[in-house]
Amino acid sequence: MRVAIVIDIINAIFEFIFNVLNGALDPILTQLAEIGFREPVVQFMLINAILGLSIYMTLNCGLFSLANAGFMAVGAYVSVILTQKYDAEFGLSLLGGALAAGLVAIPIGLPVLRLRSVYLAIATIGFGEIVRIVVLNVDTIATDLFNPDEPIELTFGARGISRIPKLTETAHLVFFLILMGYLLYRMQRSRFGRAMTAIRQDEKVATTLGINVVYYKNMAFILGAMIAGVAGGFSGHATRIITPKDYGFDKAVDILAYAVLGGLGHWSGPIIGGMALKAIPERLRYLNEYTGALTGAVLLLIIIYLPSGLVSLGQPSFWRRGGRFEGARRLAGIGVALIVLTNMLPLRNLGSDEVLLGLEYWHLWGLGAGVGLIYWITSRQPASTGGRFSLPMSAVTGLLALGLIIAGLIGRIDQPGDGYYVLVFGLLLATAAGVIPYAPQHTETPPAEQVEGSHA
Amino acid sequence: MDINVPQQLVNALWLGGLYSLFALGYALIFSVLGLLNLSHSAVFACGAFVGLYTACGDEVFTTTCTELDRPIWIVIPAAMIGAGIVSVAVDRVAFWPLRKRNAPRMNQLISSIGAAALLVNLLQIQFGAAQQRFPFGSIPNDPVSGLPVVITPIQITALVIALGLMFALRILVKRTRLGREMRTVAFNERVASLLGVNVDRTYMTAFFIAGALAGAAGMMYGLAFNSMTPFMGESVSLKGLTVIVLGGLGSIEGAVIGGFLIAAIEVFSVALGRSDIRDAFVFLLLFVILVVRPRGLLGQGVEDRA
Amino acid sequence: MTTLLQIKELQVSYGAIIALRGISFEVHLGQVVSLIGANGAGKSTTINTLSGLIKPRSGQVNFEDQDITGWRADRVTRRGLVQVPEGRQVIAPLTVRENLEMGAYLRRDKAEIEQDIQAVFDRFPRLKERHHQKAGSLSGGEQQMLALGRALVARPKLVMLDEPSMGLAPLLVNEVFAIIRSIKEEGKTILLVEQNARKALEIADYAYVLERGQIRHHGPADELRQNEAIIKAYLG
Repeated sequence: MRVAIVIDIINAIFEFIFNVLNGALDPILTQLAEIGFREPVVQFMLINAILGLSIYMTLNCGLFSLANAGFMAVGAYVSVILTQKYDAEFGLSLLGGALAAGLVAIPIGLPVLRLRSVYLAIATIGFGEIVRIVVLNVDTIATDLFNPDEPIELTFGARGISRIPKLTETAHLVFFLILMGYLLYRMQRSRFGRAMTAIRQDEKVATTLGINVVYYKNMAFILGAMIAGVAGGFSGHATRIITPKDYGFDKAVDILAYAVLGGLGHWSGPIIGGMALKAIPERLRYLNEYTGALTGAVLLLIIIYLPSGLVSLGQPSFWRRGGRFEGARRLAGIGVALIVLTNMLPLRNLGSDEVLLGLEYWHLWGLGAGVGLIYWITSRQPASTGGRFSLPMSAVTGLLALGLIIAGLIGRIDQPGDGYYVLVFGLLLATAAGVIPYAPQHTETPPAEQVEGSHA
Repeated sequence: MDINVPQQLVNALWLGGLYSLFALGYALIFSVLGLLNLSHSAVFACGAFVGLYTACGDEVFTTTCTELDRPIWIVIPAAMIGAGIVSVAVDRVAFWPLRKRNAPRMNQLISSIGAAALLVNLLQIQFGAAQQRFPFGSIPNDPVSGLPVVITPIQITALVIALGLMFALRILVKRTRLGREMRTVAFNERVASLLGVNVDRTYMTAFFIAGALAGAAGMMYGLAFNSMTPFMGESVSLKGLTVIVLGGLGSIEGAVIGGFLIAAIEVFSVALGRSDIRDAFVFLLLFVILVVRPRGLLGQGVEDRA
Repeated sequence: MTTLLQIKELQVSYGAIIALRGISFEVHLGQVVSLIGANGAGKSTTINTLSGLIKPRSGQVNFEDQDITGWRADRVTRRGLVQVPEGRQVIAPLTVRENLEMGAYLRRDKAEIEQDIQAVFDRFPRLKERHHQKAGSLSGGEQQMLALGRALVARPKLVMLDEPSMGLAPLLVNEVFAIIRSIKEEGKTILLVEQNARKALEIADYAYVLERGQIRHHGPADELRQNEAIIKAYLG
């Protein structure tokens, strides 16, 4: 009796939260749909963000584990079977999936977490594959073992489970993500978080500090598995069908990419990375066969030029690194790169008639090369007197940007496409970079104490 | 259940040769750079397509290959050179900028994934996603007569070439100046450069050799099954990884033995009628080896890799 | 006397930290020149900059009247400046013999390389006994000998030794310096970076004293050995 009341109250609270969230999300979702991200896409972006968090749990503890796709599979299958076969409530089925993933993680973690770096990565890949194969064959094996007369159908092998009720709502995902974000934020400042940081930095030192390394590593592994299990449950109920191959090696590697792409320095990194890796290919979908190639190229560019991930873009220190001169140089470089990129095959989507103010593509190549040349000539070394980075470049790009923006505003460009926006943005960046003033390069010597500490 | 054991052994032998050859490239890059190069399987597919293009000419871009412009044997050297060049390009684009900056290994792993995605998609753009094949009858695919087992000339060729290349690689690493150079760079770049080694060139050489081995494996895989798709690397990618772990990361002999072992497990579990769970055996073995003996079967610890 | 190596106003910084504040010195053909100074004075930075492992911020390095400033390490070695790095740094997974062969990496004259390797074995009989052993299994003293032998096989025009006595027992230190002396007597030009100022000044013809990235004193080694300030700071 009392229990029932408590459950009712909890349900009412959740309902209230989700109603409020839904109200707040509605306009945002409408906006997102306008620019090409419809609700299912947004849902998968959010699921990716949760997956990013799950691998962050382990990476943050220095564990290079690729097991999350496997745990995701466990969570997805368990929660789908719970809702579909046993009519469990969605919340309970998610919990069931998370617990199942956590339970599987315990016996796996104990032997495997002794391994380091690449070895751990490979062992966990092996685990992921075993999960996939077990899910694939559990029906036939169970039938052989227990009930030869009547086939047992649990996972339906390679065909997968179909006709799954679509229970995942965007509000659920947002709520869970906020909750997790908050918990991780708190965790990073707690004893637990500090212990993990210590282990990541140096396991031996952590041991000498009295930190129970085995315990923390396993906790991180299990928590990561549970988060992945929840993500699996959400993803299972976001599509109508799940098959074992959705959770294979490719998925495992994808999840790792979310974390590395977003950046490991901060818990928001994997969230951003996960969303970006869903959003980029989605946004480029209209390029058809070029989508995959361009996504690969974008991944390469980010990993090479943003070694600390996308989050570093939001850190002022990234832009200030090496002084204003270097910062301006970096901005200008990105600007010129974007201008040149506009000319690249897939982005030539300038306006609906694919011709911008009578400019042909080769004109744009010329423009990119011209701006690049001015940049190259005028930005060699900081003058000892200080000054501005490259006024000639700013003049050229500024006028062009202004012209394009006006043309866009007065409707001279029919339905501006991606190419138009990229071009204008690139020109604006280059303009801004060119007018940044920098001080003369300082050559004063630091105090002597610093030199003593230097490495010689 | 009766299995034709000699026949299955023969099957395991030539398939194992291909696996080993593929895994050797993985092992070489791991031993010189301490890096898992996940684009290796894409290079494998590139090799097969370079070979196909060399033999068939432009028609592979639009339709399938209907007749050969050049003799069939040319595909293997072409695949090796082509894949070698692709592999060097991958190094320059995906690894070199990170290496220069001393980026963490994990970033290099991800950039190799980016490179793999890029390569596979470029192949798809060029050659289409559909299966490509050599014209019927252009590959000597009739079993050699007079033998107690069924084996085709192409399978024999594959085995011979695989064994030859493995032997050559072993001599190269253990006995030559280039081999000493690579082992020195693997041990310590700084010391190597103080001895006059151009470290960047050493890396490029290692990547070329690894790529050439993958290309040879890819081409012979394509020939043996007469089927090539841009995604053909996926099926061997994980196997290659398993092979080098089984043999001991970075150990050349280990990669060879591991390749034959994996092929044997695969072939025999298929013959036993459990093809559905053959991969489970492989990964279970991988898992157990890692937990019980992480060095692999022949690995001798870190200081002796190469 | 011919000037082999000439350094002018060399400045090196690690980010904001300046390690060398404009040092200048010269090494003449056939001389043993020593750089001495305390930990962190900039000795190793100097030698690594000369070797091309660190790029200088400004200044010039001339070798045989050729400007080699900012050259990559392998090119510098090719030019004939060979460094024996600090902490010995033998190539552990290679055998003793292979280590010596790596020393001759840039040479193509097989017969003469073989002679030079035999000469190293004659000089260090202990290496000959262990020629088939992995270099990593040698003792500290043996490793230092192998590192020296490896440099000699390269037939350098100038040998740069970075702290050859570091981490060795006193008895072995004497042995190492005896070897350096014998190399000197063969007419090799040596740049010796050493914390053990007493030993370094015994063997050197000329010495520079580094302090906080600057040259504080310099002069013929026997003069420096008499210098009050130096006795107090480094020999006391």
